[in-house]
Parts: sequence; C-alpha cells; structure tokens
Amino acid sequence: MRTAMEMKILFQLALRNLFRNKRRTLLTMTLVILAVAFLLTADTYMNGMINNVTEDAVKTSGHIRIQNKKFTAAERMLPIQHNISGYDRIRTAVQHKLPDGAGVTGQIRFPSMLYGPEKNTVGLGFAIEPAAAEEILQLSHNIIEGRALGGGKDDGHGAMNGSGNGAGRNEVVLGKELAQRLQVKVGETVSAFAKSQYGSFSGVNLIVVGISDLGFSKFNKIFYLPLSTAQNLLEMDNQVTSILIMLKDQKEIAPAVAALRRDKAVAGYDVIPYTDNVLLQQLLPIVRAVVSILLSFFLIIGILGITNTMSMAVMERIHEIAVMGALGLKRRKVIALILLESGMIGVIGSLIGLILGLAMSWYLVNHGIVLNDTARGLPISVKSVVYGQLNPVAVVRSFLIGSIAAVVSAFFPARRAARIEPAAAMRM
Amino acid sequence: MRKFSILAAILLSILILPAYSPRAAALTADEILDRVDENMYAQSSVIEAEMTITYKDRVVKKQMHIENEGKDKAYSEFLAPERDKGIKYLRLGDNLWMYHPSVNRVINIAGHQLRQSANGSDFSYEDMMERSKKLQDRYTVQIAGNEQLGGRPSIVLDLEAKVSGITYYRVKMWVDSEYFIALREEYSAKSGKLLKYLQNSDIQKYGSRYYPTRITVKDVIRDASATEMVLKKVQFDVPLGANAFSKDRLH
Repeated sequence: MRTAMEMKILFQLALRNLFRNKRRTLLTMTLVILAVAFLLTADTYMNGMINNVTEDAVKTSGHIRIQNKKFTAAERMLPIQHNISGYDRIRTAVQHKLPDGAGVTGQIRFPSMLYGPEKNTVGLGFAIEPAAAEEILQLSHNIIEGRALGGGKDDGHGAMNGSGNGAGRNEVVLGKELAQRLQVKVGETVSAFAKSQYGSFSGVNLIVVGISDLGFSKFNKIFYLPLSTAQNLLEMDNQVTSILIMLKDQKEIAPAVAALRRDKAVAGYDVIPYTDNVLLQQLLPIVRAVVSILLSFFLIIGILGITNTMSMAVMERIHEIAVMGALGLKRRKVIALILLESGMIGVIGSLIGLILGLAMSWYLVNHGIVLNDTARGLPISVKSVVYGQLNPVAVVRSFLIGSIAAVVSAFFPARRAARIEPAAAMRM
Repeated sequence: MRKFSILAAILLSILILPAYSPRAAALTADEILDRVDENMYAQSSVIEAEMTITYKDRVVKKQMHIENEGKDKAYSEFLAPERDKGIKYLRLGDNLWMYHPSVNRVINIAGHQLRQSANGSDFSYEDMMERSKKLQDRYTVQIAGNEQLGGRPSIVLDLEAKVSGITYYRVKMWVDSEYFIALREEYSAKSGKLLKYLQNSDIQKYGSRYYPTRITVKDVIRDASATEMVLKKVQFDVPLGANAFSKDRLH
C-alpha cells in the first residue's frame, strides 16, 4: 500500500518534471520520435526490397523448377540443347508426386532476335503454356494493352495441368521495352529468329496480341509465346528447358523437393527450390545486414541523445535531488524517478514515432519508390518501383526499442544523480 | 659396316622419299600456297552439294545449290529438307543476307552472328565467306616439314594471320605435294587453342584444276557434332547471269 503510494508520488513528480523544461523534453522526445519512425520505415522498405527479389525468383522459376544439370550449369547462356526430353511423360509423373492444387508446366527460355516492320532488337523468349502463364506469372494482370496469350483465361484445358499450350497459335505478348524498341503495336506482326537446339537458324511470324509491363526491367525485355510454337521453332518436340512447379503453400516446398529428388522420373535432373537462387542467397544476408546496421545506427543516435539530455536534466536539478536525499528519499527512488521520467518520454515519443513511421510506411506500401534507371544497372532484377511491405512485428519491435532505449539511456544519469551526496551537492 | 650404311640408306629412302616430291621440293612456301589458291579459287563456280550434319545421334542431310563469282560474291540456296527448303544466302563482299521463307523476310547477318553455326553445321557463316578468298591475301606462310597423311605425301605449312580481326589466327595445313590440295587444315586461335579442323578428300580433276569433293569439318567447341559436305556436281568458270548476285533473288 505504502509502495503504491510512493510510486504514485514518484509518477506525479516525474510527470511534473516533464513540463519543467519543455524545450529539453521536446528535444529528447523528438529524438525518440525520429528514431522509431525511421526504424519502422527502413524495415518496411527493406522488406519490400526482399519481397521484390523473392517475387522475381518465383515469377521466373515457380516455387520449384526441374531442369537438365548441364542447362543449370550454363544457365546464363541458355543452352537449349541441354533440355528435358519426354516432357509429357515426366510432367505426368511429377504431378503425381505433388500435393493437391500444385501446378506443373513446361517452359523454354531462349535468346532470340526480333524483327518489327522497321526495327529489330534482341529479346528473351519465354515459351509457356498460356494457362500456366496465368497461374505463375499472372500475365493478364500486367497487360497494359491487348490481352494475354490464349485470351488470358483458362482455355478449358485446366490451368497448368492440361495441355492448354495454345497449339498452332502464333501469338506473342511483348514486354513493354521490346514493344517500344520494335515500335510495334497490338495487332502488328513481328518475326522471331532463333537458333534451334541443333544450331540452325529459323524464324516464325507472331501476331502481337498484348503488351505487358511486369515492373521488372528484365521482364520487359521478355516476350511470351505458346510452348508449342517455340518447340516447333527450336526443333524441341516434346522437350522443354525447365519444368516449373507452383505450390499452394510455401510450406509444401521442402517436402515436395524431397519427394521429387527420390522420384525415378526426374533422376539425373536438377530439382531446385526457388530459395536456392544464388543471387537471392547472396542478397538476403546483405539486406539483413543493412537492416541491422540501420537499426543500430538509429538506436545509437537515440541513446546518445537521450543520455545527453537526461544528464543535463540531472545537472540542472542537482540541488533539488540533494534536498530530496537530505529529506530521506532513498537512492533507488531517485533512480526510479529519473527512469520514470525518461520512460514517459520514451513511450510517448515511441507512440508518436509509430504514427509518423506508419504514415511513411503507408506511402511506401501504396506508392513505392521509383528506381527506373538505377534498377537497370543492378546485377539482380529489381522492379522499377519498389513497394514497401509493412511487417506487424516491426511495428511492435520499433515501439519497444524506442521505449526501452529511452529508459536504458537514462540509467547512467539516474545512477549519477542517486550517488550525489546531499551535503556536497548543497555546496555546489 | 658398309653393308649397314647401304641398308640404312635404303630404309631412309623408303621412309622419306614418298613424302618428298620433286615437284614440291623446288617450291617456296608462298609458291605452294599460291598453287593451293590456284586450285581452290575460281573466277566462278556452280556447285550442287549435300551436307550431312551429325549431332549426337541425329543425322540430317541438307541439299544445297551454291554459286560463286570471284572472292566477293556468293549465292546459296537450300533445296532440302523441308524445314530448310527455300532458305537463301547472298554474300556481297563482307555483307551477308539470309532469306527465310517461314517468315518471308530478309535479314542481315552481321557481327558475332557470322561466327555462329551456319544452318546447324560445323561451318560458321564466316567459314563459308572466307572459303572463297585467297589464303595468300590473309596469311603469311612457312614450311614446317613433310609428312605422310592418309597415304599421301604432304607438305606441312604453318600459316599466321597478317590481317587483323581474323577468326583463325593460325592455320596448320597438310598440302598434298602432288595435287596441291590441303588434305587437312587445323584452325587455331592466337593462343594456340584448336578451334576447328577440316579434311578434304576425294580429289577430282576439273580441267587443269584439282578440287576436293568431300569436305569433313569438326568444330571442336561444338560438342558431339560433325559435318560432311559432298560436292555432287561441280562446274568451274561458267558464265553466271547478270542478276546472279542480286538481292532480288532473296524472295
């Protein structure tokens, strides 16, 4: 009862002290507000960046991809001669090993020269079954003109699992950048030339049915065409360079990879989860390190600032503390008083900081930051607009860090205040 | 001792003499190369050929019609198989155009594309283009020795590029010392790395000219592939029409 009473008095004293030097309190609180706001914003931005790169890896390869080991070894060169033969049979076998709802599709990636009526350029061909393009790439969501391959809908063959590969359709969806370089519009014809797996040059005329903007500068140099058209062009009958697998839940990835690696149908081929993406593996630790450095940076600034202002507060009130000590206030009570005062600043500042941080995060989540030309120079594919991703854990963490840091940083000034000898302090 | 010397002399003459032709013996390296160029280089030629391309376990035969005039003009057309039928190439100097019937379009093959496989064969487009040019214009030459190759006496020549930007900096050539035809050619980079080798055989006589009618080429960089070109019909120095090398033929 007595302790509660004492605590109430201490609380009132601490609250009163906050308003004694409003400028100093405001300065300390501003530091807490800024530290918490920037912590949260930096976390949201870095999460967005990680999500951006992860999304690219999944969009390029699904959750799991199966491919020839020699193709994997020289993937940058896209050696289509190192492919998967007997695709139909392997696809059926793979489907049986996967949980319900999993999608399986063949893909051929190949370099090509594209010729428009006037201009020509180099492009990266993505041959895929149109229904699968919907499920993996969600191509129709990114069509800015025209439509997706095969009308952009499941064409009745069953998404990813059927033979909806647009057989006989010489259609193409061009990435925005390719369309600009070739100066072509929907409805016009482009010619795609490529070397077959046996090295002979061949070409095919394709009608532009759509133009897509997937946000990634790399993806906008891609053109999508039906798998059967590419198989004919590249002399790859019933062959693909990769089999892509999309699962309903990321938790299914590890068991599915293990099951496929035991399966005889894909023996000798690589079974690669998207998390094995080398760039992703290299990038994620870097991003995490950057986040940690930023966290530490804001934390140190906050702690130094609060320690400084609280030290000033102690010095200003040295006589008062000495009198309180002479009147019988125990040392731990003095420490509690100072810590309560800084704790209040911490909690209030952190709350305001959260509001500011949430506002900045909201902007990042909804509007993003445009990278454009900067992103083009990066060795990884990064969307031209990076959208933030708010992590609820980061909201709680930022608040706790702000509040606790305020208390911790006031500890040394508080201890110093508690050690003041009343008689000596009176003489100062 | 004297008997031994006579025996040694006889053995030596058996081993060396076949590779040492008196016709070639008097010639310098440049003169030998000149004789090779005389055989290979024609004012004009019309050739019907069959190219057999082996890649792993796949064998494809391609029929071709080829016309050449001097060192700067060449026209070729694929007659079979169905997939390649109607593909035409026209070379004027250093420019090469391809017409592809599947897209009804003429494209210019330039830059690094020239070093790529020509129609899936072990020949590159550049090989095709360079073949009608005189060796002496592009290489300096030295005699490296005399050897027997496939039962034929031959002079080994070492060629080194004297012009810049040439794909094969070094060429080692075994020249038949009777017919002055390169029986084997090994093409290497400046580093000495072997890039391609070629063998000429079934040498036929056309007027005063000897010419190989079976050419086998192997691109060392291309895994598990080989190309053989058999010349079914060869005519040299025949008059070609005024429009023989016009871009109008590329349709």
